[in-house]
Amino acid sequence: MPTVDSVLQLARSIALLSPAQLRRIETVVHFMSDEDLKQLEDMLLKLQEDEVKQLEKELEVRKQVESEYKEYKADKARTTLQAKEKSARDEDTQEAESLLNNM
Amino acid sequence: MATLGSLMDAMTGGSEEPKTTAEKAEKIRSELSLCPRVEDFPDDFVEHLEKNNKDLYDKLMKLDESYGVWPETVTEFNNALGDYLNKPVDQDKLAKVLRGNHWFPNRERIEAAIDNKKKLTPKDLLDADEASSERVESIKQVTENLAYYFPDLYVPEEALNSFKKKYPDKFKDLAYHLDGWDFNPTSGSWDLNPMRNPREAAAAFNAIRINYIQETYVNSGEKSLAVIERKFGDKIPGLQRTTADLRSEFNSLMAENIGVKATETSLKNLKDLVVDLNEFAEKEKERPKPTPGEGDAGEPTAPAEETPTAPAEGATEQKEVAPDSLQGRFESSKKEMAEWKVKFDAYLANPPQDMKGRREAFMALYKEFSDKKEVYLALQKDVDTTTENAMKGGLTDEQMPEELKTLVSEIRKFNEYVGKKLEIPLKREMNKISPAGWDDLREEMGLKPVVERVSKDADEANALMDQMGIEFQGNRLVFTKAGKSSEIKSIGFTGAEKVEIKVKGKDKLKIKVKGMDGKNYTFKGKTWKEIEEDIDKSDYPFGRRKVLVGGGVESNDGEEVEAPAAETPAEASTEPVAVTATPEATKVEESAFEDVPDEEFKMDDGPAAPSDTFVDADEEKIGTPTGIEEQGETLSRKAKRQAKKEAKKNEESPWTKIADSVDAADLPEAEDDEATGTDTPTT
Repeated sequence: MPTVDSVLQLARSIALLSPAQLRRIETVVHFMSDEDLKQLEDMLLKLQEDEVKQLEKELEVRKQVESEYKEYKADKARTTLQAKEKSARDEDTQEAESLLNNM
Repeated sequence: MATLGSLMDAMTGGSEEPKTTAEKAEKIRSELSLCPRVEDFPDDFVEHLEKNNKDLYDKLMKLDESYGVWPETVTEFNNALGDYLNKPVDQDKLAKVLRGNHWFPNRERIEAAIDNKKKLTPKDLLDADEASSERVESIKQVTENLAYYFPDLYVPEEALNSFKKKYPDKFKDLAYHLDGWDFNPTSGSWDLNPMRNPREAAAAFNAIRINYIQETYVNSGEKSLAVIERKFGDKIPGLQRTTADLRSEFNSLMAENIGVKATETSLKNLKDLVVDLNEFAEKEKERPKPTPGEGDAGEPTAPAEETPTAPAEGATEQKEVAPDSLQGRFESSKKEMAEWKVKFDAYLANPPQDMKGRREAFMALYKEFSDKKEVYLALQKDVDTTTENAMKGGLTDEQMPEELKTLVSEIRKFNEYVGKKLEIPLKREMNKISPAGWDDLREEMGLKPVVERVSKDADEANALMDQMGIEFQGNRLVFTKAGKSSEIKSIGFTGAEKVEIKVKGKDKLKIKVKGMDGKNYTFKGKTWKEIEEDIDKSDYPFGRRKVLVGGGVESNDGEEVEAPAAETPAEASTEPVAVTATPEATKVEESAFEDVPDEEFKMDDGPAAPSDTFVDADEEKIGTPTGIEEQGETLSRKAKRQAKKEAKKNEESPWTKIADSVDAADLPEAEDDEATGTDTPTT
């Protein structure tokens, strides 16, 4: 059976509960019947599990974005390189043509 | 017997999977803290994502708006909690709780209700409490709530009080947000909303605390230290400790107090030290006793005039100054900067709540400042030219016009002000809002060209680089096969405008770097070792990285210390084909982005401090990035050497780079000096 302290500890470990939210919990737990206390604990556990699921989802999205970014940056770099190489080649061609013309 | 795996685990902190849900959440949270946020990416990428991967873009936006909460569960939870709140309180339990001295709002009312046998609910207790704006806005509650997010932080009550007094509305908003409430524009009331992130408010309060410490103690201490240094040098009469000791103690206390582990004791120590410093600064400089008959015997000497740290307020002009004269332009610059500071202070006191708005407001201010600084730097160049011309005309230092000497001196003092009061706070703010770093922000604003790697014989150069084990990583050229025989692992192009890679005679790689200091640096060799020798021989002042035994990293000259690379997205680029890169933000800059300002802001004599260019109050030194030289010792070779040394010392100050890039743009490119591997300076 959960105790007031164990429920409080659980609530405090859920990072995204705001101080005001936590204060509400801190207020009610002292007056709860054992049955209600158990229910509150179950709810908090569910909340905590959902928190983890949500965090996992968030992590996945952020990692995807990060990898997209790397790809985007590499593409950009490749494009720039190609443009520069092309420009250099054009320059070389022009030089060669000019040399030929002058021969 | 320990297996290799277990040994590895022991070394790396173990690979144990978290057992409880709480541990799991903690682990993911720590991974998430390393992930970049939307504002960390350049805008062009975000736009690209929106166009090309709308689904991912929407997901990302949703995350950053809601901080990844789970509406259904929360709603359910809130409803259930509401039910519990409405159940009558068990009188016996309540009495027991009250006996246990548990904190409760309106304790008197509760006790009265027990006496009256009224059926109280927990909601009654909370309503009385939550409806009271006094509680949410009370310093006590804000302090308690802050401790929820920064458990180790000591927040001086005066810091919050002073902010509350100055900006009551802003304080109220922040206090409510910190407590977990959100303003509902429809109902016009504050609603409890676990979906908002009170951490932002906590961070804002922490920034308020830091500002308070900065304004109340740090600025005053800095000022006194500057006076002490100028007045007494290193030895303060009647004191065992040297000025350097005092500065070092001051810097360390300052760093401690602006961090999140600030304690009441550390603040008290800083306070005490500042009081001492103020006293020392007022101390008379000992001077030989006047001989009888010299007059004024026994009268105290007037304290040395302090370096003005701000444009003289209300100062009246002694005589009419032509607006287009050097003095007139200086006065105008001073006025402009002071006006800008008013705007910037207003912004800092009340920055826009959303990051986008904050960045926009900041950028506008930054651009405005850059424009003003450019005008100011142009003035400094003209002052330089005037002085040089006067010298060429045969004037000695003593024969220089008094106005010019005074102006030079005033400019130096004003530089100190600009550095301390404008640029440092500006940079600190930039670091807060732009994790991608200084250079990205500048690039974004079109203030500085990106470093350009030019290679006409790209294929050959790339092949040779591959063969030599050299590759571009972000903005560094890294020797990937660095072993014991190699001391310099990489060179960075933090202060470079252009990097040119060439192949010389089939098997020799030539790296030509055009620095923002207007100089060209050339390193070449068939192996990294040979290139390394060239780097060693040169006075290349930018990021070269030396690998130390034991894994530490130090610069070649021991001045610039960089942490091993852990790239932010804006810098991350491990593709060897990358040909353009923004000059990388140093790790110091990156860490400064966190809520806690780091040592970068220490106004010490360390080479990495951005304030270096300006903070130096030592009259013997030359303090301006453009080489305005101190009267008396000016314009000599010695002064120029010193200026060069100062410039080198100040390389890591991004502001110096702005100044230098402006200068460098006007200068002709120097030819290679093949013999030394380093070009003759053009400045």
